[in-house]
Amino acid sequence: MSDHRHLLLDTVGRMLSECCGPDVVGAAEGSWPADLWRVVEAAGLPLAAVDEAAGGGGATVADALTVARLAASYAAPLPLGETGLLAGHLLTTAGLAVPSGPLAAAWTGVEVRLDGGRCVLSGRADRLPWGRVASRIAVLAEGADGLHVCSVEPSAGTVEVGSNVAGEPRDSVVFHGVEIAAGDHARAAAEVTRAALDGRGALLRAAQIAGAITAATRLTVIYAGERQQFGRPIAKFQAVGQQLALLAAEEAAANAAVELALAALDAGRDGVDEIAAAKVRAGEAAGSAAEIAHQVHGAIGFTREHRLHHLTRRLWAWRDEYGSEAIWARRLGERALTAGGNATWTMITDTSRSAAPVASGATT
Amino acid sequence: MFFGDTEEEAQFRAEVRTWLEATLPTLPWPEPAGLEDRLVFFRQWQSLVHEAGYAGLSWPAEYGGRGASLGLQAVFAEELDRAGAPDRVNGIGEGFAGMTIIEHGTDAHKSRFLAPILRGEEIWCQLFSEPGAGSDLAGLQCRAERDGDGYRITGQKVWTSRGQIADWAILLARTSGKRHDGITYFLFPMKQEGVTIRPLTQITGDAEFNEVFLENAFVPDECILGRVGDGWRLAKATLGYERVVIATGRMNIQKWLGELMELVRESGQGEDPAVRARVADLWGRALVHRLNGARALTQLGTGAPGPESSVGKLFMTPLASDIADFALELGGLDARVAPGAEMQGDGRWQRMSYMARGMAIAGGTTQIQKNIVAERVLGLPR
Repeated sequence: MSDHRHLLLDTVGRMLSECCGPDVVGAAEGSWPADLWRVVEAAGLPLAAVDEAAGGGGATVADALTVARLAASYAAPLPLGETGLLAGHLLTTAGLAVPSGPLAAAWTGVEVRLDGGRCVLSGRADRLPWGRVASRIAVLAEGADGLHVCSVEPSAGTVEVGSNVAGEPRDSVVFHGVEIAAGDHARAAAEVTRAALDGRGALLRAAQIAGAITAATRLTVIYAGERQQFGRPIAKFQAVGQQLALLAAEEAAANAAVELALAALDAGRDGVDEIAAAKVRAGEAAGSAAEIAHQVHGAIGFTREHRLHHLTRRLWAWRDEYGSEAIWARRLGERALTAGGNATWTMITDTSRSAAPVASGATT
Repeated sequence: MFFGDTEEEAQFRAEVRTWLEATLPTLPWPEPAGLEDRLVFFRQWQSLVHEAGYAGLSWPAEYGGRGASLGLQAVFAEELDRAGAPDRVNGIGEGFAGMTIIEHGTDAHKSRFLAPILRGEEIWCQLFSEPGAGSDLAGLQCRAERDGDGYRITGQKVWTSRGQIADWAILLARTSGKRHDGITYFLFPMKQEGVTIRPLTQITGDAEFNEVFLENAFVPDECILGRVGDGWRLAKATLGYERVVIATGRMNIQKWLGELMELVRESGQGEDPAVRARVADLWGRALVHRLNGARALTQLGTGAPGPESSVGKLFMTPLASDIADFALELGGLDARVAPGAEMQGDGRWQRMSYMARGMAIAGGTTQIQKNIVAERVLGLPR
């Protein structure tokens, strides 16, 4: 890890341990933690990976993902990754302004009609993280001549509020022929595709899962060392110790899978295979880790007042968002089959190789 | 060994099914969500159950029950589940307290307590677990101190289901200092000063459980079940009934599996080999679970449950969890519902997933069940 990244994570860790305790996370469910957002925004975290010219921090995508992973270990109830890595990325690559405040991104379900000088947006953007409070939604919309990026306020559409298992806002916004002002839309850059955004979203969630598992593991090990039954800490029972070892293995696997994908990005590759593997492996780990963490915590971990559920409910939610394990496993499998038998060994073992050819079915 | 319905069971199943079809529509549906309102609904239901002679199914006829075998009890539970019958609000009264009183109570206990349970007049809760005594129940600290012709109880209990509406509790408290030997089993009146109940909200948003704080609450001598200091032996009997309820009770695996297969068909994923393999695996495991249950029932007849009931719980828990998780996967994001949302309909798999996690902890954790199997079924050294 670069010194720069170390420094960044150090700063973020200190900030979040001060401002994002369990009380803040608990209180944020069903409301917007405006104070917390102000703190992280002032520190430049949401737009860390956006170009400096566009008002961002100029950090790498991998840097921003490690920040998102760390924030997830605090269960930070904010659209940190969504704002910069998804919406900010869409806006800057299209040459559009990046406003302050939380941002949401949508890349399916919405169409754009260009009619003379007018640009009209229609469709349904489903389950946008914190859609209700976003200052803008960056929409990648299909038009007759290809993909366009539009910057639109949620209030221009009809907002249907919802939330995921963790109580994080997941709001759908329906646009009924919303006219977009001239400076708020542009052709999408060539490298911006739905498949690429799927990958970014998936890696963001995989990184967050890895962060939340790391924190859940820490809580569980501490609890097992403190909780006394039969006259000793439950960690002293081999059955419990073995559960903790399995939990540590899941933590290691999820983080390793994410690290591999980050390394691919750092090396300037698209990391399509690594991202698919990361989402699949982190998703599997999310299920097992949450189960073990709860089992070791026993009944107390199932109560609202205990903080474990801040992490485990996020694990259950994030596991399915931006593509479940089944979806990403199928994509990865299709790519392996397309690459052919001889390429499989290289695909698995050579982490410095250039990107495998994109299979035709891989972008669905 | 015979795994299908016996002639008696088949006949009973048909009788119960006909009765449910005729009776359930007479209730003032929908079943209320709030516990207090549900109690009213439950009492209406329980009086119908009682009139029809199905209350206290497992209880001997001399106490107003039906003396039904475990096989018939399982049939009854399956049919209730199949028909979507109301919540059995007094499961602790009928299943745990009643059975333990029948087995260990005096004639006075039986005549005082059993009939109001059958009629749904008195609701029971269980005051066993404490913050420091969960898996290690024998480490409980709640004190019972001699006062005149009874005891004063002081301590804290936790994970008390339906404490808010309970009239009575089965209570374990310490009458002397030694671990297993110092515990006494009380039939404890809940509606008195010195009993404070605080709901514990769960991660589902429900408040199914409570903390119960006891401060100099009084229980008279005639409400001691068994002998002073003999509570641990009785508690083990109660916990055995609890495992049976968990292993054969309302969590009807066959029904859930049927719904899972419906979901597979509806989702159009039935052609996917990976999906087919998982469904087949779950189906096979559900069959094994059913056969294992049938075997246990055949062996037990009407006797009290032994340590073998732990095996059923051990097999059932991961199966329930895997069914729910697979359904959640198939259902995608629609199946995952927010806290506080309706946990019926699409949300039912989410609810089942939470229930399955809870089942691995409640009524003796998976790890404790494994110890029971190792020590008491296999006879391995402690």
